[in-house]
Amino acid sequence: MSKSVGPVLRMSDDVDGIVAAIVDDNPGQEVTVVDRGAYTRVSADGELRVTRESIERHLGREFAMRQLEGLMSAFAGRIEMTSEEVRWRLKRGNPVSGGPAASGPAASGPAASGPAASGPAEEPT
Amino acid sequence: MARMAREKWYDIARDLDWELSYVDYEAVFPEWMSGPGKIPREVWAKWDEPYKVTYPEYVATQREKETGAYSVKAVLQKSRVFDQLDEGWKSVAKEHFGAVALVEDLAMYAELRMARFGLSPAWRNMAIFGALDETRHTQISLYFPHGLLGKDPQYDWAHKAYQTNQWGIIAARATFDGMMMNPNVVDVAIQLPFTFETGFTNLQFVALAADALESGDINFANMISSIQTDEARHSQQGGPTLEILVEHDPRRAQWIIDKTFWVSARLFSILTGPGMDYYTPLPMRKQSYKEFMQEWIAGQFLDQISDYGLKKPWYWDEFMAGLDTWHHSLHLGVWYWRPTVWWNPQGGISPDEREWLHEKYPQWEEQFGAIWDVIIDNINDNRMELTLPETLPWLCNMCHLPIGTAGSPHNEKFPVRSYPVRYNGNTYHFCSRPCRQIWWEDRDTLYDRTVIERLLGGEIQPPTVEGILTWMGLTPDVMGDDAYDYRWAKPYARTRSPRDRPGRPHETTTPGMPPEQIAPPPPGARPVPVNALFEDDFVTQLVVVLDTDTVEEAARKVAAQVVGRRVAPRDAGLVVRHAGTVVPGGITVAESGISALDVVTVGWAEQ
Repeated sequence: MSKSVGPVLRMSDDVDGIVAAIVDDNPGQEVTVVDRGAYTRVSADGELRVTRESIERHLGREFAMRQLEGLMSAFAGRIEMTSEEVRWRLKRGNPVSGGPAASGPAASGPAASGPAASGPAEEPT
Repeated sequence: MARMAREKWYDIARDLDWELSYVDYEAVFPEWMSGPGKIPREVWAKWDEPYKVTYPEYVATQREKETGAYSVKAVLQKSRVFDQLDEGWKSVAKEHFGAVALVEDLAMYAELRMARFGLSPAWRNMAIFGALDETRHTQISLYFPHGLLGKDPQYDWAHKAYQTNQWGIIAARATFDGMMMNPNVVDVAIQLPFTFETGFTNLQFVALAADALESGDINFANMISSIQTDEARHSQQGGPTLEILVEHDPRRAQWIIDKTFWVSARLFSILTGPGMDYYTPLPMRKQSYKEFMQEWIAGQFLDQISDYGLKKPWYWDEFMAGLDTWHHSLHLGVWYWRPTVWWNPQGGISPDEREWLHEKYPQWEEQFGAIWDVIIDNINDNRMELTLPETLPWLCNMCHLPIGTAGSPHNEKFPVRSYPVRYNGNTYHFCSRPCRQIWWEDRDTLYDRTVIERLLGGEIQPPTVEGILTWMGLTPDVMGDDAYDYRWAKPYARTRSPRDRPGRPHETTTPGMPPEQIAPPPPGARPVPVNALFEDDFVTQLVVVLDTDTVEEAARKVAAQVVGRRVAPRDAGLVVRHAGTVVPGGITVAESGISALDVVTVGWAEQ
């Protein structure tokens, strides 16, 4: 199961430039771009980055990394931000695809010890 | 002058803190507010926000965002764009403003609580930005609809709704008080920024913007997607808190996420679902609600919690199944009880729309089609009184939404039924097992009385539909009506002859209920309010029978609220089930053992 990460950009004149910068900064990564009008989802598997330098090259003007905030309504994955670069990635590899993991941290959690066992008894309708 | 790069000084500056010498640490950061639980004090020094911003950067960026949002508004205000918007779409915006504007204000207090009681200076710093963000969101969400007041009084509810006892608002207040105001700030950080703001708000503020723009509401699309750029930043105070909590108390972390996710999912199935799948005009729908939920919640959010080492919530399969039913059921409920809302719900069941629903939700026709057919025939035969309610649906003690709406008719796995529990001499009713379990575990921070409890407690006077509407704050100029004035139902009038219509009232089985059904009983009789389900209906309802009624009379009172309204009449007798057994029709309610707050099921007798 793939784990998509990356920004969701809101409608603006700069979307195409930012997308081009992301593609430039991630050689070898398959970057998926889904355009839903009011937002554009840019994603790739596992990790994605963009640099200030590439954004400036594509927008043709100076760009402070903080300005990305005004263009980005959401993102998938965890973010790391410096003045020169933004990264989106996930730290772990194992996706939650199957049922609850027997060794998961909450194996003894509420589902096991909750009211199903000790709580209210079900009444027939 | 060149400035030093932020990362060269930021970590030191934002870690500025001091040793307390005049007061105890516990007095400044008490457990019940700060909530460290099993987390050792020194661990909080590790708290590191991933999305860093300085105050000058914050001010500059927010100024740019505000300039963008308000300049678009200024331009569009002079155009006729608003007048050309679809009435159905306008309802999406009206519902949004009323349900959201003052929740933003509440979120400001939640951020301030974290800014005061958060256990790391870095966290407190970030929460200050969060509080400033939420102030902006409150202001913009009140200012935009304020400009529309002259066009439509329903926009007044942007400010009014949250200060009323309207039933949806009670649901929202219970949810958000439980998420933001009642718990300690560690719980708040996991519930609000992490679970709610990286998950569900994206649906309402980014996904919905796609439908808004397509519908021509550029102003609304611009406003909500601008708001969410703040959320993308300040929601990041959830991650570092969760990382610490997972390390020291994974069970608590999992539970907080599980319960918040479930209650949020219930609430969004009424806040966002009907807007996307019924109110937004068909050609403008970018995706179905289910598809948006799969994109934003089922995929993205699940990846995120697994990245922190947590597992899928225990009810995940039930939640996923609910994407096919919950919001359809709630749409039907909002539409049938439309005078109780401050927007005009669009029926949205024209033949073309119905085909779309069938394509997106293959079970829709089987589960909801027959009910809408009865309603459609009543509209086309001008029996409007049968399309309007005379009682209330029974409400879930946890999510405050009608019981039945976490399932659907003709659904074996998740049927229309209550999941009750007796506690402290009271019977509490729930829409689902997860709602019951969450309430059972955390009722101290989550409990709020439902409209039904307030009604039966005598808080609402007079206890009639009119009295309830007045108590909820709804005035005739604001009460909802069909957004298209029922035009969507007209095509069906040509395809069926009146005698084929299942909605024709049947004299023998639908005696009709006098409107004073919840008024004082005659001398010698005692009212018995029951949680009644008529089979094939989609909700359970409050029906007040008398202990002197025969069971058959009581069954007719239940049928009168359903048959000919949402279930087609049949030439058949009625059968009553209570506590798992069939009750004879000839005995009285008192003799049958049916008591107040009990579940009573009425169905057709076999022919």
